[in-house]
Amino acid sequence: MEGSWAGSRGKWGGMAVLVQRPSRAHRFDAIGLFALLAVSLLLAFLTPPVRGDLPTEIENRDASRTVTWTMGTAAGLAVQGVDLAGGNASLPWTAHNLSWDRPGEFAANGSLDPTLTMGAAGIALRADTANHIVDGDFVSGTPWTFEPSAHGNVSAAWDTGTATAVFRHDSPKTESSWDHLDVNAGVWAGVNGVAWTNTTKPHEGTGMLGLNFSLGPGPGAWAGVQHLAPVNWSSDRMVVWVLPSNSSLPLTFNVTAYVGATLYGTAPRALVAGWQEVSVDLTELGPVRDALISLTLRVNGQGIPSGTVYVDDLRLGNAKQFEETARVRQSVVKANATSPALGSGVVRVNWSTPTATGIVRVIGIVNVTSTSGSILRTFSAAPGSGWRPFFADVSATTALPGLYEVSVGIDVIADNTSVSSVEARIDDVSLVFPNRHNGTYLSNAVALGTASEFLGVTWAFDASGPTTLWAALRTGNDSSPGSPTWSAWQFWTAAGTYAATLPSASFLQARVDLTTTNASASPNLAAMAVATRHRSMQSGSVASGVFTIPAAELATFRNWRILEARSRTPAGTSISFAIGDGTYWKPVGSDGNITDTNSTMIRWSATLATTNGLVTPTLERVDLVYEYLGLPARVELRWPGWPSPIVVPSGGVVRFTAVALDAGSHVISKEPNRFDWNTNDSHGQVGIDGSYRAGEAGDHIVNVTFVGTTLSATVHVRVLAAGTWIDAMIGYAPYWLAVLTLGAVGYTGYRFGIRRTSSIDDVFLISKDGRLMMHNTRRMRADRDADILSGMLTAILSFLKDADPEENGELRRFEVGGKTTLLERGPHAYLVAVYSGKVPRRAGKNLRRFMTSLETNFGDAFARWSGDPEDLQDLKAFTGRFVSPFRFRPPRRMNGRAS
Amino acid sequence: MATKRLKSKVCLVGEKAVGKTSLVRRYVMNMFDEQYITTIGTRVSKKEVHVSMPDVPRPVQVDMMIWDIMGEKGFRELLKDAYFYGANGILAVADLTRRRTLDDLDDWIDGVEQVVGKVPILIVVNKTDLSSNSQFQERDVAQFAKAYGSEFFLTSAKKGIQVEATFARLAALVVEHQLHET
Ligand SMILES: Nc1nc2c(ncn2[C@@H]2O[C@H](COP(=O)(O)OP(=O)(O)O)[C@@H](O)[C@H]2O)c(=O)[nH]1
Ligand SMILES: [Mg+2]
Repeated sequence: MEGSWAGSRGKWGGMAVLVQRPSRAHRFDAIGLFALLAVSLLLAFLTPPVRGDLPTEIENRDASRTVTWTMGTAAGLAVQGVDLAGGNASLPWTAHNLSWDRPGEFAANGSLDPTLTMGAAGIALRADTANHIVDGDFVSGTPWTFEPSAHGNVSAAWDTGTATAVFRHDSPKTESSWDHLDVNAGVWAGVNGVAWTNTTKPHEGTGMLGLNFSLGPGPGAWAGVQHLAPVNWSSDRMVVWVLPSNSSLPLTFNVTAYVGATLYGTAPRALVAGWQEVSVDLTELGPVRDALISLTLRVNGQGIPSGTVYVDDLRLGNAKQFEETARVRQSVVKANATSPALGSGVVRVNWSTPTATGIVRVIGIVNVTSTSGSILRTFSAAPGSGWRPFFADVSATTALPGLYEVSVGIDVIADNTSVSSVEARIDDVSLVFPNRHNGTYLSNAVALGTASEFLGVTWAFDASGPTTLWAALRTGNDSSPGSPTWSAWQFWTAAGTYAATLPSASFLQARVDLTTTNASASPNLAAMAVATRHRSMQSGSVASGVFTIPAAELATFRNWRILEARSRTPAGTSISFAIGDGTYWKPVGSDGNITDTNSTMIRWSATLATTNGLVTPTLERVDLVYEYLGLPARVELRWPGWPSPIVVPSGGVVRFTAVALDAGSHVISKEPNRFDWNTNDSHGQVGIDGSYRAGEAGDHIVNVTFVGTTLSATVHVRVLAAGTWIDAMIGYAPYWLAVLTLGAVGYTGYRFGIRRTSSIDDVFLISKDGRLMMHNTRRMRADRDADILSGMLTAILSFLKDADPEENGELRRFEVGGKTTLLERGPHAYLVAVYSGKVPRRAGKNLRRFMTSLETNFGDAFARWSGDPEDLQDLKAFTGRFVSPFRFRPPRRMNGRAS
Repeated sequence: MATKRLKSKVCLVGEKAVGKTSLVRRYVMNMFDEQYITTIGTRVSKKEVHVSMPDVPRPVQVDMMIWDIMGEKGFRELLKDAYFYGANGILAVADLTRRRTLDDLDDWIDGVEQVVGKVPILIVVNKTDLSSNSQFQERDVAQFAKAYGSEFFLTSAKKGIQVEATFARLAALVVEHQLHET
């Protein structure tokens, strides 16, 4: 497309649009005209002046000069919507971003599988959120069954006020004081240490029992306080407060006593810093404990040089010991099967345990049971403030449809002698079968407006744990995704921003596959952004300033010849040009021809446009060529029929014209009197007006000289002896053909020769295939071949007929070389008669009669003629009658065929 | 013994520049013009050929009218009827250095037969002097000619090889055909 010429139509950039047609100006009123002129003048005024270094002008060899503008810099150019770079003007890139950051934008441009759902945060797998628990929020209390624990230690009730289910246990203490340890002298004695009563800050009452001790480095060392009298501790639990001094630790605590001669000891238990209530299971001292001797409260340790431990408020009692569960439950009918895969069935419950004192612990229990099995999940319902959720996956047991019982229970474990109080609550119980299935989002073919390059893509989505998300894009050039213009999909499996390697195209399609292996979990698609760019679809323009013909050249300036551009216009792009003188613009045709412009001021504009965003036209250079009148450079001759060779009969006249031209073929003079005429035809002559009268037969020259110069021209003429037209026909077939063609369309102006009395020179009877059947001539000539003539004439006549069947199909008469030829066609052959001089009025009719007569007598012979002249012998005599100077009278029908 | 005379029309067919005009010039005028001669439309030449036939008592003198056509396909369509009308024989010419010119003879020959029916056809492969540039072999020509039941000749208009023989053979075939036709 190098240097090609784009079509001249199109916009004329921002400026010229104003100057161009207002298309509804059928009525071109005065105001409109004025406005137009005003704008034009304004534009002319605003056009920047041409800088001295632009454009450049060079001299050509053909009396013309080329003015050249290049696009290297914007100097002297008005540039609009076009980039100048690398010596070229081109359309700039335009960025275009496709950004979908709301789920609605995805939906508006495509379709979601039914398994997908749109939320505020994006597109995710759709869950069945139906809660199969009735009154899960305990607003009505029904249809729940509230079931206390087996022995009634834990109650279950509906609490209307808070709309919750509440579980309680309350019981008084079972212990009572055995020794306040306020006064100890004579009751307790130190063993491996010194015991005394301390009255400062006792845990209870007015005093407590202290023990100072020192433990050696070896294992098994201990110290303690021993009850001096035997004791009856038939109760199963002793509880005492203990405070070790910080420096005494680590220590363990236990109780020992003799039953008879046997020493029993309870399991030692580690002490911590600060007051602590230690509960001792007395059954470890044996089944009979009504006479325990040397009962000792011991601390055990080693390597403690100086330790102190206090004990206070020793109580005895029988422990409350139970583990009981109260429940709320209801039956659930499940209509449909679900998957046993994880997440397909989920129980949720919110719980809180405001109070739990005097017990071991509280446990929550969720149980879903059916005939096909049961699932039980527990959670620590540890005391604390606030509600906490618990989820239990029950997919495996809830896959089948059927009747299920769902229960939520609170299990209380007690093993103590003190006051006990438990309050636990549950709320918002749900059983859902989320039933999420994989799904796909597929966008339509999204039109980008034009072919575009893809620069990058950003995906925002979450896909973790059991979920995955595959995002994909492909591009194509039509709106039917998947057709052959479409690329393969490109996938992204992690969110982020990526450089795109998609093929450039004008359409885009997005696809997102959301999958999960857990019906409760879903990936989430939040946003997509695709960055593209394309060449500006707005046409841009470059225009030059006004160039004025230099003053020194004004006198010889003639006109502008051509606007030539060095440019590239790949398919889909165009550059159209206009020229003006500052007051108007007019389009330049694709051939660049501006020969109708002869203003001495000129400027040009180029409008670059594309319909394909990937390509831009580029304009590198604009040349304007103008012509001027140079010095005479040559002389040329012209004659009628030029440039065919001149063949003229002796005595004929040819009218020559001479022209003096400059190097650019501009006419300097045509006036005959400024030329000198000569010929070497000694019997011929050339007049001062250039008319040549042919002399003797032979080859001659005619010569002309432009007066005052050495410039001259010579032409050869062939002069034929009058009457040798047939030779001319054969020797100059092309020329003859040309003349015949002209003659056939009515041109008869070019004849020469002298009129003589009419006579038939020749008669030819030619078969339709071009073979000569018969030739009768009055003047025998040896140097011509009637066979060849017949063939050529046949070929030429059929050529004429093909060229214009209407006009030439019935060609009956033509003139050449002063002779008149008449033609008459029959079914098998045609007749050609050549006359010299005036043709008799009845000649045509005569010929027709002759032809009819020939066909009547020889038609059969013609049709069967194999090429043997003997077959046609009788013809000769018959034809002779026609050539005779008398009118042709057909003879009586001759008998039979000629052979 | 008096000579029997016969007028015949033979046509040359073949793609442009295979050497039709050159063959005629060589045969009729015995000269070869290196310069490229482009035939304008149709050119008719004439050569008198003497043929002796075993089964014809008198020697035959044929006035062989040789029609040479401009080898453009479009032109062929245009002038086909007039040009081929009444032809008594065909010289189908191909160029040894262009395979296509041989293949294209099919179309030419079909064109002729549409107008004149079955007439003697000689297949001629010209420019044998350029055999180093040949694009096909003698056996290709033989195979082609066989399909038409024709004889073939390898010629060089430039060197004057086999030109005379080709036309002489065509004349003989034409005479035989013409005499037995009636
Ligand atoms: N080397 C060579 N060139 C030939 C031969 N015959 C014709 N030419 C050349 O081929 C070109 C075309 O020949 P021409 O006779 O005009 O072909 P036509 O279009 O078939 O009539 C001319 O340049 C001839 O000089 C030949 O036998 N050998
Ligand atoms: Mg030719």
